[in-house]
Amino acid sequence: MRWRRRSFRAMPTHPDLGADERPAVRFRFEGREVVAREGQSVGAALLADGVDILTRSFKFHRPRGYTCGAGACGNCLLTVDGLPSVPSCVTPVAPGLEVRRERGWPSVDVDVLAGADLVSRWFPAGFQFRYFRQHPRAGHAFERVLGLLAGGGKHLPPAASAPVLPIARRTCSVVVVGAGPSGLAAALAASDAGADVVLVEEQERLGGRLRAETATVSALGLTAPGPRLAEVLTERVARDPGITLLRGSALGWYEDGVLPVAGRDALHELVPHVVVEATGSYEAPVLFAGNDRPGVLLAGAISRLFHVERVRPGRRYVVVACDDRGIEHAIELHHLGVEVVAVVDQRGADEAGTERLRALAGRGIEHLAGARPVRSHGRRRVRGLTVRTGDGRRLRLRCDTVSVAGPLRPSEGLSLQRRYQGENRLSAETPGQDLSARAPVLLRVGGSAGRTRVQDAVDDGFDAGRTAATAVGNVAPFRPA
Amino acid sequence: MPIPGVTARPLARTYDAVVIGAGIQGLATAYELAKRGVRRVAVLDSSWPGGGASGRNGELIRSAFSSAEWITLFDASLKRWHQLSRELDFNVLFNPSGYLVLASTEEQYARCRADVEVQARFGLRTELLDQQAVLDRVPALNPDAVVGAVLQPAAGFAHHDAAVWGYARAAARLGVEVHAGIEVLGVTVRGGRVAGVTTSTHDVSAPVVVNAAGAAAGRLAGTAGVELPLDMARLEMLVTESVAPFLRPAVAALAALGYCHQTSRGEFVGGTELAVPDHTPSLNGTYRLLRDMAQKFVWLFPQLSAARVLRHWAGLITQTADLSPIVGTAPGVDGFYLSCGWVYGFVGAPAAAAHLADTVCDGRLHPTIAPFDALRFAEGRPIREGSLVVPAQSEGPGPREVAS
Ligand SMILES: Cc1cc2nc3c(=O)[nH]c(=O)nc-3n(C[C@H](O)[C@H](O)[C@H](O)COP(=O)(O)OP(=O)(O)OC[C@H]3O[C@@H](n4cnc5c(N)ncnc54)[C@H](O)[C@@H]3O)c2cc1C
Ligand code: FES
Repeated sequence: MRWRRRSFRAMPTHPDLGADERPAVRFRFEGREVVAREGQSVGAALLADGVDILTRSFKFHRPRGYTCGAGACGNCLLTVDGLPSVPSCVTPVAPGLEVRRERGWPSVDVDVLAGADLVSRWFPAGFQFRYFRQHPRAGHAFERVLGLLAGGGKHLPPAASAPVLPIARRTCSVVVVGAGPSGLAAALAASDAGADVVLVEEQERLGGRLRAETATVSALGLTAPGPRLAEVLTERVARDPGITLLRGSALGWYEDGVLPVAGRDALHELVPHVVVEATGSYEAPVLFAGNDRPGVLLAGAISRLFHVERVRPGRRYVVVACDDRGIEHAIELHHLGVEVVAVVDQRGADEAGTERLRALAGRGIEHLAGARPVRSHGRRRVRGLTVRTGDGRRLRLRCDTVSVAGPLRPSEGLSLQRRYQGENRLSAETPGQDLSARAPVLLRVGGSAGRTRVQDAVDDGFDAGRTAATAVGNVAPFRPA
Repeated sequence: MPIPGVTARPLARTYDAVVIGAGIQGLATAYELAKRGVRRVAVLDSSWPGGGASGRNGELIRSAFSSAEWITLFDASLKRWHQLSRELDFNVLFNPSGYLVLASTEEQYARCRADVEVQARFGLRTELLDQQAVLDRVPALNPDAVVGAVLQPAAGFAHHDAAVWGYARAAARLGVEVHAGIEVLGVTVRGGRVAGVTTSTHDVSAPVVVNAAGAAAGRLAGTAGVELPLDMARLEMLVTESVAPFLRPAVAALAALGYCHQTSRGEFVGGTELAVPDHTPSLNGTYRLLRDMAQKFVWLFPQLSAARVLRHWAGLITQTADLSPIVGTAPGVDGFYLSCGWVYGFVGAPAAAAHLADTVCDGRLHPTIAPFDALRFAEGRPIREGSLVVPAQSEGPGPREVAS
C-alpha cells in the first residue's frame, strides 16, 4: 500500500521544471531509512514516502497529516533529532536526521486511544468544566490520566535538545521581516536607497510564494516565472553589501523598541528605526466535518508540494473554492496532469467569470456553483467528500485529496501587536504604551497588507523599501538596475 | 456572542448592592452577598468577567505563609478551594498538586525552616524538604537551583478562567446581574454615606457599594474621598506548548522571583518578576520580562529550552506597602466596602469574599479580615508577612517581604 502510494507521489519529471536532478538525501524515520531529495522538507519527504498520518489530535487522537505546508497549523509536528514538536513541513531534510512521531499509543499508526474520538459524544468540547464538579477526587484522577495521554513530545536530556543561545544586540536602520516577493523587493530597494538593512527569514529558501507562482512576474526590468525570479532576487540580496540576511523568526516588536529574532545560533535583539512587515498571508481553512482528515490540504500547500517539494499528494482531487483563486488552482492541477473531479464553489453561478467556467468545462472539470463541503470520508485518509449542491442535493464525490482554497488572510502579527500596544488600556488612566516615540515607522506590504497577486506584492515591496529608507533619513532615489 | 454569566438585562437605576469589578473578588463577593439574601446585586465591569488580573494570573494557590493574619485568611480560602467545584456546580479544575516554595540559597532555606515552624504552630501541614527530597519529587529541577523547599501538600493551582466563570454563573443563578462593558466613573457619597455610582451609561443608586476594581481601585476610592496607599504594578506570565508531564507540584522559586506550574494538559505556565516593580499602567507584554522568564525558567528546568512559548501576557494589580490586601469597610464612608490591593487575590478570593459579605450583612467586621483594614498604614501597624516571593520596596518595620 505504502509502496503504491510512494511510486505515484514521487515526481521524477515536472511539466514545467523538467527532470528532478536534486541529489538524494537519506534520513531515518522510526527505524527505517527514507530517501528524500535535497531541498525537500521532512514532512513532504514522508508524504512522498506514503506516510499519511504524522500526528494525532490532542484530545480525541484523530489522525492528522500534512495540511498547510507553511508551519502554521501544527498538524505535522514530529520529533526531529530529539527536539520535540518540530513542524516538519518547514524543516529541511538533512542526511542522517532521526525522525519520529509523537502521539498515539502504542504508535501513531495504530492508536488505540483513537477510540476517544468514538466516545466524543459523551465528552464534548469543554467537558472538563461540567464533569467531575461534584466529584473532585475522581476529577483529579482523571486529570492525571489525561495529562499522561495529552503531553506532546517527550524530552531528551537538555543538552542534546536545544542549547541556550547567546544574545546579540544590534541597531540598524531598516528591518524587513519576511523574504517573500514583497520582502525581497523591499530589502533591495531600501538598501539601494542607502539604508542599512537586516532581512529576516525563517525558512531555508528565500522567495516565499514566488517559488510556487506559475505566472510570470516582473521586477528589476526582468520578466520571468516565479521560481526563476526568486533565484534572481535571492542572488541580488546575497550580493548586496547593504543587506544582512538573518535566519530566524521575529518574535514581535516590543514597547522598548526591540525586535527579537530567534536565530539558529543566537538570539538577535534588533533595534530598528523602521520595520517593513512582509510576512505574507496564510490560508484560512474552510469549515466542514472531517476537514482535519489526512488528505485534506490547503491549496497553497498543494501548489508548494508540486512546484517546490515536487511531490504529488494524490491522484483524484476535489477543489473547494471561495473565489477565483480556487478555479485557477483547479486549472493548474489539471495542467500538472492529475485528475480534478470537481470544483466545489461556494459562490453563486453568476459570480465566477464565464471565461474561467469555460476553461473548467473545457478540461472536463465539473463546477458546482453555490455548493459547500459537508463532510470528508475515509478512515486513515480521505476517500471521498460529501457536498451539498446549490439546489440542495447531497452528492458524494470520490477522491483521494481535497484541496481547500479558502480565503487568504494577511499575516499581520507585528502590526497587530503594535496596534494593541497602542490600544491596550484598562481605562482612561491606563493607556497602552505608544511605540511611536522610539520606533517611528512600521510599513506593511504585500500579502500581509492584503495583496493577493504576487506582482502587486513585488511592486508594493519596491515602494515600501524606498519609503523606509527615506523615513530613516537616507533620502536617495531608488535606481532600478 | 453572549458572555456566559453576563446578564442580557439593561442596567437598572437602583440596586441593593453594586460591586465594581467582575474579577474573582467582585464576582465572589456578589455571589456571597446573594447567598446571604441580598436581593438586587449588580456587578459592573468596564471590560468583561476575568478581563483584569483574575484572568491573567499564575493560578497558584497556597496558605503556607508566615504571619498569623495571612495564614488565617488564606487557609480559610484554601479549605474553600477544595470544595469550590461542588459549591459552584462548575469544575474550577482545582488541582491539589502540592506547592513547593523553593530555596536556592542557604539563607532562603533558613527562612523556609523558620516558616515551617510558624506554620506548624498554626496547625498547617507543611514539610521542610532537603535538596534530595525536592529532586526526588521534581527530577526535572536543576540541582544547582535547589537547596531545599517548603512543601504544602494540600495546596496547588486551579484554572483561573474556570474559577471566574464558575463564580459568574453561580452568582447569576442567584439573581446577580453581571454587566460587562460598563465603566464606573465615580462613587457618589452624600452625608458620609455612599449613595451609588456614576457610570458610562447612567447613574445608579445603591446603599452598598463594593470596590473590587483591581488596578483601578485606588482611583475609584479617591472619587469617594477615600485615599488608599495603592501602587499599580504590571506582572507578566507565559505559557508554553504542551510537553510531556515533568512538573507535578506548583513551584514558587525565591531566587528567580518566579512561580510556575504545569497544567494537566501539559502546558507549562509561569511568571517572574523584577526586584523593582514595574509601575507602567499598560497591559503590554514586554520583551524584557519575556527574556527574563525564559532565562530563569530554563535555569530552573533545563529541558524547557526545547519548548516553545505559545503566549505571553501582562496583567495589572495594585499593591500596598506591606503587600497585604485591603479588605473591609472604607474609612469615613458608610456603606462603602473595599476589596483591593490584592497580590495573592486569586487564592484569597473565596474566604475574603465570604467574610466581606458577612461584614456587609452583619454590620460588623469579620475577625478574619479585620487585620486587613485600610487604616493600618496611617496608624503604623503594617502586616509583617515574610514568606512572599518578591521583596517589598517599603522601608517599613516588617522584614523584607515578597510579592506573588
Ligand atoms: C501575572 C499575574 C500573576 C499572578 N499570580 C497570582 C497567583 O499565582 N496567585 C494568586 O493568588 N494571585 C496571583 N495574582 C494576583 C491576582 O490575579 C489578583 O490579586 C486577583 O486576580 C485580583 O482580583 P480582583 O477581582 O481584585 O481584580 P481584577 O481581576 O483585576 O478585577 C478588577 C476588575 O475591575 C474592572 N474595572 C476596573 N476599573 C473599572 C471601572 N472603572 N469600572 C468598572 N470596572 C472596572 C476591571 O475590568 C477588572 O475586570 C497574579 C496577578 C498577575 C497580574
Ligand atoms: S504546520 Fe506543517 S502542515 Fe501545517
